Amino acid sequence: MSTWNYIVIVLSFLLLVFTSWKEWKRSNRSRMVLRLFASFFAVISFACLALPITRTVKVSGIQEKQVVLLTDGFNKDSVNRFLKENKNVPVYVLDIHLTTNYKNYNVKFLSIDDLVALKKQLPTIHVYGYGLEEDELQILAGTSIVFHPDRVMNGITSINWQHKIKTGERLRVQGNFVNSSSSEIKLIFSGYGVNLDTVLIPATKNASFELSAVPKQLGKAVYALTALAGKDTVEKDPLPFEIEQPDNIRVLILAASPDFENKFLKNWLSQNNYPLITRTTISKNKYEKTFLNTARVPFNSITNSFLQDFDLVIADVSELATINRSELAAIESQVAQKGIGLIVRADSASARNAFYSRPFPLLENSDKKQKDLSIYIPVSNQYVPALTTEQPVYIRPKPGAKSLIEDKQSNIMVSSSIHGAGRLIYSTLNNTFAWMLSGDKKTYQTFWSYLFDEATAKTDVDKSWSITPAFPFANKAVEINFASNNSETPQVQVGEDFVRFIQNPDLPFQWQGSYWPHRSGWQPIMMENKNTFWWYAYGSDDWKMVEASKKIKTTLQNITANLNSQSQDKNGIPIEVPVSKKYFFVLFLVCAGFLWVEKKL
Amino acid sequence: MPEPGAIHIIRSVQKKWTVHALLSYFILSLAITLLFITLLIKLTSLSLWWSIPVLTLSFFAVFFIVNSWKVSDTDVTRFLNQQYPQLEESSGLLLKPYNSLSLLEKLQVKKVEQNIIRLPAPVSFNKKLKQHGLILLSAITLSTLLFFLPGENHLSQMSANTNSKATAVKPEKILPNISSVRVTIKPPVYTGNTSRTQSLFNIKAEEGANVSWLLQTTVQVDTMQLVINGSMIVPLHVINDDHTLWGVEKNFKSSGFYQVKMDGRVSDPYSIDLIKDGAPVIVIQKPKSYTVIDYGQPEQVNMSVSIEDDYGVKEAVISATITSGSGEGVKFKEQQLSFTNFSSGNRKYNLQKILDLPALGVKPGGELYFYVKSVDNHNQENRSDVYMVAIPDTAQLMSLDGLTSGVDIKPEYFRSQRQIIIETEQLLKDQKSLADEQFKNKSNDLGIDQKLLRLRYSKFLGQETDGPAEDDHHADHDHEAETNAAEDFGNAEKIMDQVAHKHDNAEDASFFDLQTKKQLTSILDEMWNAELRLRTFKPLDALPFEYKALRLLKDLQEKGRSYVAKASFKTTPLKPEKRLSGDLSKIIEPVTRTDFEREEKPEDNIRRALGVLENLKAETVINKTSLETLQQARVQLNSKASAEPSVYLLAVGAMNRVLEALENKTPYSATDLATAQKGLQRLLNSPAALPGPDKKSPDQNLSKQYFQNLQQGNH
Repeated sequence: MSTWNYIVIVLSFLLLVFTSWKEWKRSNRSRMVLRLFASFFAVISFACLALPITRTVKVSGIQEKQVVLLTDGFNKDSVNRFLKENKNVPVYVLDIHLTTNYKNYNVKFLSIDDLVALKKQLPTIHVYGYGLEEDELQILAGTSIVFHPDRVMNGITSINWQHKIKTGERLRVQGNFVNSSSSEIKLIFSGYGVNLDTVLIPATKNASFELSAVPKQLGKAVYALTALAGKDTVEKDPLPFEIEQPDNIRVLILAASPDFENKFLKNWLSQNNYPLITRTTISKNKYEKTFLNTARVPFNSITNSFLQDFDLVIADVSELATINRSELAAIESQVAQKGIGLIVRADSASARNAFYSRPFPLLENSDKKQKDLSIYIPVSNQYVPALTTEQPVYIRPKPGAKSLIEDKQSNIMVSSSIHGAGRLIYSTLNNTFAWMLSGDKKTYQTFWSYLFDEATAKTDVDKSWSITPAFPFANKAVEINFASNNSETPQVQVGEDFVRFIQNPDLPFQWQGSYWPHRSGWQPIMMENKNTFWWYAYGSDDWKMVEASKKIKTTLQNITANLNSQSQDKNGIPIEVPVSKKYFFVLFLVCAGFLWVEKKL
Repeated sequence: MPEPGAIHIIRSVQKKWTVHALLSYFILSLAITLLFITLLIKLTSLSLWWSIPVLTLSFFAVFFIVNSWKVSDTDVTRFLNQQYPQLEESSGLLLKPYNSLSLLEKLQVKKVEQNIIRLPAPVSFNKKLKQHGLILLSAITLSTLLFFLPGENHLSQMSANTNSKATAVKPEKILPNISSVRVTIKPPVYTGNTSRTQSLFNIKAEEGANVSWLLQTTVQVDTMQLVINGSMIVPLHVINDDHTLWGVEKNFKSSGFYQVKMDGRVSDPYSIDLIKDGAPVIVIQKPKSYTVIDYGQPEQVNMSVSIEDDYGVKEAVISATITSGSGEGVKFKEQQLSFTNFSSGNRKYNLQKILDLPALGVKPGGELYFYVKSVDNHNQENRSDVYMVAIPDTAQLMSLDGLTSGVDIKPEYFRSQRQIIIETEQLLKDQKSLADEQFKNKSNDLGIDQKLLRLRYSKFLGQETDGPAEDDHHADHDHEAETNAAEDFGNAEKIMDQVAHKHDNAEDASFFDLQTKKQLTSILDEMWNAELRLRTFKPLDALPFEYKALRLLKDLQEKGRSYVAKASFKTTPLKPEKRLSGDLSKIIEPVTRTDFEREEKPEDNIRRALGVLENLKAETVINKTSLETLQQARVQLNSKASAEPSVYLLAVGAMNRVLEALENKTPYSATDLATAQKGLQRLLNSPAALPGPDKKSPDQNLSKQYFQNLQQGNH
C-alpha cells in the first residue's frame, strides 16, 4: 500500500466522523438514520474513487496436448492423481531404468530425437521427480513445462570441502542435511575406516553441519561421509582430496633488538627448511645478519631489488620506525606493487601515521594487570592454551581491516589489511614463544602458519587444471579446463584416452576439452606422458541427494526464466483486474443527491 | 429376636469393608515401593528383585501403622446409620442381645430389621480405594519421570554389561591344505602353570614358554617352515613317512607374529602374545618416608609392607643401614633383617616388623636408612624406596657451636630455652633430695620462666595472648562482631571494620615471612605445652616439649643463617677520553650462515606410502621410488607389529599380499589396499601445520595488468 492510499483512508475517515457528527447534532432528527447511511456511503464511494480497487479473476488457459515426463525420484501417488484427473495423457521417461519403476501405466522411453520431435507438437510437459538435466532443458527451451518437484527429500543436499590442502591443514566438510525421517541421523566423517568426527542431525530437521579433521597422509585419499539412522546406513559418500607439501616461503626478519620471539621463529622456520635472512640492529647502523638455508648475499641497506627475493617480511615497529626513509619506501612499494606480505609486531615504539600501522589503531588499555589470554585460532577450530601477557594491547576494529586472532571477549590481537597488492598483518602478541617453552609446539606452529598463510600472496603456477561440474560422475560428460601461460596446444591424455582441447577465443590462456569418464574413481590427467593432475569421478550412487537438489534447482530456474512455463496447475491463473470507477461514482451521486433532496423536503 | 438376615447384611458389609481397606492399603504400599525402588535403581545398581522384600516390608508397615483395616460391628452400624436415614440411627440395636432390650427398643429393632433388608443394595467403600489409586498413579508418573531423568541408568548399564561379555572369537584363516593344528604351550616351571594345548594358531603364552606345533596336512608336503616376525625362519620336522605330519618346538622370549610357509605358500600372520612376568611390587604402608623420633617417644618403628608378584615371591628382606657420628667421623653399619612371618612361594604377602632402634644400634643423633628387597621365583629383584628414621641428638641441640658465629639474630631467647631444659633436668635429678613443697615451687618457677620466654616470642608475632598460640589470625573479626554495641549505631568506621579485611595491621607487619611465622607459632605451641606440664609439677612430661621447642628453634635459627661472604672486586679503570665519543668503528657486524638438512622422519615415509597405496587404486603400474617407499613402510609396519601383534597383524598380511602382487605383476585386491592403509595410518600422528603460499592459476599476467591500470586510473 502506498502512502497515497493511507492519506486517502485517513482523510475519508476524518470526513466520515465529521459528517456523522454533523448529522447527530442536526436539529431535524426525523430521517437521521437514513441520512447517516447516505453520508456513510457517500464518503466510502468517494474514497473508492481515489483508491485503486482491484479484484482477482481466474483466467483459464487454452486446453492443449499434455504429456507426463517422469524423472528420477518421482512420487507415484502424485503421478497417479494427475493421471486420474486427466485421462489419456501419455507418460514418457528419458531414463530407460525408470520404466521398471512404473509398470502400471504405459510408459514410453524417449530418446533425444524423440524429445526434439515431441517439442514440435508444442505440448505442456508435466515433469515429475527431481527434474531435468541442463542439456535436456536446453532442448525443451520454449515449451511450457509444469514442474512437480518431489518435496520429500532425505539426505545430504549440499556439501563442500577443500579438494587440495597443505600438510597439517584441517580438512573441513560443510554441508546441509535434510532429515525428513522420524529418527535421529548420525553423520560420521571417517578416513581409512577410522571415525574422525561425528555430528547428530535431529529428526525431521533441516540442519547444516561442519565436520573436520587433520588428515595424516601425503598425496591423495578418499575419506567417507556416512549417514546412519540407528544401525542402517542412509547414505555413504566418498570425499576425495589431496594433500600437498607446502612450497617454501622466503622470509626476511628485521629486528630492532634481539628477542626470543624472533629467535624461536628463526629456529622453527630454519628447521623446516624455509630460506630466511634476519637482520638485527646492534648499534646505530650496525647489524647482525644471519643467512639460513640460503646463499649469503652482501647487503647494506634494504632496496627494491633486494626485496624481490622475498615473499614475506617480519619486522617490529621499533625497527620500521628507525630505519631510513628509502628503506621504508622500498618495503612499502614492494608490498603495494609486488604483493609481499608484511607482518608487523607491535612494541613500545609508536608510528601512528606510518602506512603499516594506520589501519590498526591500538586501544589504550587501562587494565595494566597481567592477563591470561585465551586465544581463538580459526583454522584450528578451538581456543588454544592461554598465553600469559603483561598488559595486553588490543587493536580497535576499523573498516577495511580483518581481525585474525581474538580472545574470548572478542578483543582483537592480530588483524590484517590490504595494502595495494599485498597484505599487512599487525600483531600485538609478543610472547608466542611461551607455547614453545611449555612444549606446545603444535599451537605455536598453527598460530604462525595461519599468520604466514594470511600474509603471503598467491604464487603463480604455469599450469592449472579444473573440472566442471564440481561433481563429475562416471558416464557423464565432464569439461576439463586447463590454463597455462604457455600458448602451445596441450597434448593431454586421461588414462589411455586422448582429449582434444579448444582455446578460449577471448582468454588465450584458457583451454577446454570434454571427456566422458567410463569408470568411477581417480582419473589421471597426463601431459607429455607425465601425471600432472588427478581428479575423482563419482559413481552413480554417490551424492544422490546433492545431485537431486541441484537438478531441482536448475529445472526451477530454467522454468522461471522461461516465461511460457508455469509451475502451477492449469486450472487457471489468478489475475488482478481494476474495478471500474463508474460504479462508485454512481453510488456517490445517489447518496449525495439524497442528502441534498432531503434538505429541500 | 432379630432376624438372621439383618445380622447377615451387617456382616457382609463388614467383610466388604475389610477387603476394600486391605486392597487400598496394598495399593498404597505398591506406590511406596515403586517410588523407593526407582530411587534405589537410579542411585545404586540394585537389581529389580529387591522390590519384593521392599513391597512386603512397606505393606506390613502400612498395615500396622494405620490399623484401620480392622472393622468392628459397631463401625459398620455407625456407618449404616450415617448412610441411611431410614435406619433412624438405631441399627446398633440389632447387635445387642434381643432379650436385654427394653420394650421400646424391641419395637424399634423390628422396624429397623424391615428397613435394613429393604436397603438399596451394595454399599460402596470406593472412596479410599480411589484415593490410593490416585496416589499409585502419581507414583507411577513420578517414577517414570525419575527413571528418564538424565544421569546414569544403572539398569541399562547392567544389561549392557551382560551383553558385552558375549564377544565372539574371530575365526582364523589357515592354509587350505592344513587339516589340523595342535599347539602345545609349556609355560616355564617357575610360573607353576601346567602346559595346555589349543587348536588355534594365535598364541597367548607366558614369557619364556616353550611352544610346540603339530601340523597335519591333507596332502604330502615337501617343506614346511615357520616365519617369525617376517624374517626368522624355523623349519618344521617331518614326523611321519607320508610327509603329512610336521612338528617343531620353540622357546619364545618376546612377543611378535609368525606365518606358516608350506611349499612356498605363506599363510596369514598369526600373533604371539607373551605375558611378561613383572618384578614383585613392594608397597611400604608404614612408616612414612621420613620419621623423626623425638625425645620421650618410644624408640621403635612399626613397619607394615605388602609384596605382590605374578607367580610367587621367593625372598623378602629388609636392608638397613645405621649411621652414627657426624661430620667427618660418620660411620655406617649395614644389616640384613628378615621378616619373621615370611615363608616363600605365595603370590601376595602382608608383612609386619617392629624395628627396635636401640637393638639395631641406633643412638641419639644417628639415623636408620632401610629399604625392602624382594626376589620372585623368576629371580627378578625389586627394591622399595629408601626410608629414613632419625633420632635427634639432644646433646647436639645444647651445643652453642652455631651461635657463636656472629650472624645470629635470636641468641638471647634461644639460650633461655636451653637453660630451661638444663634446669628441668637438674630439677629431676634433685627431685629425691628436695622437699615436695620445694620441688613444686621450683617447677612452677620454671613454668613462669617458660611463660616469659613464650611471651617474648609471641611479641614477634604480634600475639600477646596468654593462652596456647592459636594459628588463627582471623579470630579478631569475631571479637569485633560481638562488641557491636548500641552506641556504635551509625558509626561508619565500625561498620567498615566489620566488612573490611584489614591486612596492613601494624602488628602483622613484622619482619618475618609467612613460613617463619608459621614455624614460630608451632614453637609457641610446644612452649605452651611445656609450661602447662611445669606448672602442674610434671617436669618429666614437660621435657619432650621443651626439647621439641628447642629443636624447632634451632631449625629456625639455622634457616636464618644465610649470608654471602664478602669478596673483593676490582673494576677496570674508566678511560674518560673514550667515553661518549660515539665511535663505533671497533664494533664488528657478525654474519652467520647455516644450512639445515631437512631431516627425513620415519613418519614421512609412511605418509607417502599412504598416498602410494591410494594411487594403486587407480593405476596398476608403480615406479621404483614408490615401490621402495612401500617396502620401507612394510619394514616399519613389521617392527611395530612385533610389538603389538593384535593391532597390526591384519595390516601386515595385507601389505605383504599387495607387495607380493606388485612384484609378481598380478592383480591385488582393493580390500587389501584399504586394510594396509588402515594399519599404516595408525602409526601416524596428525602432522603439524606448515605455512605455504596458495597457488594462482596462470593468466598471462592479465590480472596484474588490470591491477596496475586500476592504480594508474586512481592517480
